[in-house]
Amino acid sequence: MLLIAGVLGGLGLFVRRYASAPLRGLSVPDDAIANLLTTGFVALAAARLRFPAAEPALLAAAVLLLCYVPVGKIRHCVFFFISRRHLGRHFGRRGTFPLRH
Amino acid sequence: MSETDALEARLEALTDEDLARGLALFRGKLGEAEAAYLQTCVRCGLCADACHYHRTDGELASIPAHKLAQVAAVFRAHFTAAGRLAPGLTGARRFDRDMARAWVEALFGRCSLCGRCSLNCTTGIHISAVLKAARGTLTEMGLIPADLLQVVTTSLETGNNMGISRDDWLETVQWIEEEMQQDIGDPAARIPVDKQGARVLFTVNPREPKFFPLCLQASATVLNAAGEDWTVASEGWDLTNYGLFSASPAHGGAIAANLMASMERLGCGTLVIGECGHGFAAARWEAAEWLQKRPGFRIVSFLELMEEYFQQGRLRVDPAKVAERATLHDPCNTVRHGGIVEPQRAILRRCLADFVEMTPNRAENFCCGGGGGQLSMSRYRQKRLQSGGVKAEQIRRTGARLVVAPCHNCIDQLMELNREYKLGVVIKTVAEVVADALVRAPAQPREENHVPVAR
Ligand code: SF4
Ligand code: SF4
Repeated sequence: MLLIAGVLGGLGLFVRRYASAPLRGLSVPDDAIANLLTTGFVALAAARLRFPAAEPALLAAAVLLLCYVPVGKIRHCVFFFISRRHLGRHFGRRGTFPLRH
Repeated sequence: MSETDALEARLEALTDEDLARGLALFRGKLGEAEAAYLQTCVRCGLCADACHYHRTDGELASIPAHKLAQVAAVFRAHFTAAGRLAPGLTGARRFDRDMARAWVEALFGRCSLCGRCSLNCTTGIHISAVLKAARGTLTEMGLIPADLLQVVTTSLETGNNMGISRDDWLETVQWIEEEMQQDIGDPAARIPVDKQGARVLFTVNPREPKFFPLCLQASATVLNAAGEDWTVASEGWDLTNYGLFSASPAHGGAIAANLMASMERLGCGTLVIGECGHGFAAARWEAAEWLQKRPGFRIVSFLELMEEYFQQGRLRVDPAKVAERATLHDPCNTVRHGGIVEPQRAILRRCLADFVEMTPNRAENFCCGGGGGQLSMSRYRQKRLQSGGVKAEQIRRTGARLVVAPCHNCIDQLMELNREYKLGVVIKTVAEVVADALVRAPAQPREENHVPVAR
């Protein structure tokens, strides 16, 4: 169920990216490739649960995905934590974080 | 040649060596944090609405991520393997003349370095820090609008950003002192100059002696009412630092050194930065980095000091004296970049009968549009006024007749917005509001704290 939700989410983001003019303007080919690779991987993982024959395709998708991580924007799964730490430290030291409302 | 043409001519004259030097300068500004920020954007577009430029013009080029992408494109093309091997895939672009032009347009023309996008980035990118690093690169390449650079140059050459001579400054101080004495009916009230060993050195934005003497008078009135042991300096009194906007640590450090020298010369214990957002952020947070030296004294905003006076029971106010509805503008450099969020609110709640917050407020408040040196870059005036539309609307929605803004850059922009958007408001500093609400004790004879200097 979770995997299917993941696939639908990925497809939704894909459609949103190319349906919205500002997002289309911001996009580069990496955005499409990263989305399709991730969504495809999750879809194959879901398929593998019902169809064991999908296993080789799933493994191939995993290899492709892992090879692509350092190349494209999927690398944010690592850099996200580094960026957040620096941002938090910067604004935390100044007393801006935690935000007050 | 107009200022725009001059910058265009400098862009046209760029050689390959200039561009290579620019790239090396840029590389030198990238630490671990900046490099991480440049690798993290997922182009989700969720920062678009955070920026007052994009909210008012709706243009793709005004989306923070688009400005960031101009910088990231160069980073990728020159400093990542993927960007070198497959530039088209990740939007990498080499640093050539067109790219330098795009940087000028994005970093000077469409950004006030307000930092609101940084707080609203889904992945935690400090976007304005990256844009500032790239801005600094342009400055060091000579690709900075001449009028912004002129403010820095004037500071470096004369010790203050308006080129006010020592004699004019001292005469103005004397004149304001006399006005204050008359106004509060206390001939013993003083604006001490160069008082050796005073507890507090109070620093001033040159716009006060030049254009807004009542603001300086109000601050002096509050300091006298609190019985503070304070002084202004005859030299090294200007709190502004446009090195923050040229984004050059060399500029920032040289200008910050003036205040540090005054503190050393006068032997004061606390450096108080008057009501100026960027001046506070520069002195409190950036100066130590620029100078690579921790100051050996306390640096506080005048807002914090006034709130301390209230907490110590040194000021008495009557909110009924300021009855009109009032709201507060949060200058980006005081609040988001400065961390001074609550003192001004606590003060205003004491002094105002009808205080309403803007929405959003505090660290989420919108830039007035005048930050980042925008007020001194005439070529972007229209864009600046347009981008201020968000602030104008925020003010209008409060129904306030009085806007309190603890920053002179913001006050200048708010005054223009007041005319442009027909807001019909009065704009004051926090100290002016406190001075208006003050309930003065009868004048007491006090210790003579006026040290005469050659005026
Ligand atoms: S919110 Fe952050 S990650 Fe998303 S587009 Fe803007 S800068 Fe990039
Ligand atoms: S720092 Fe402010 S003006 Fe600059 S891009 Fe971000 S939100 Fe816009």
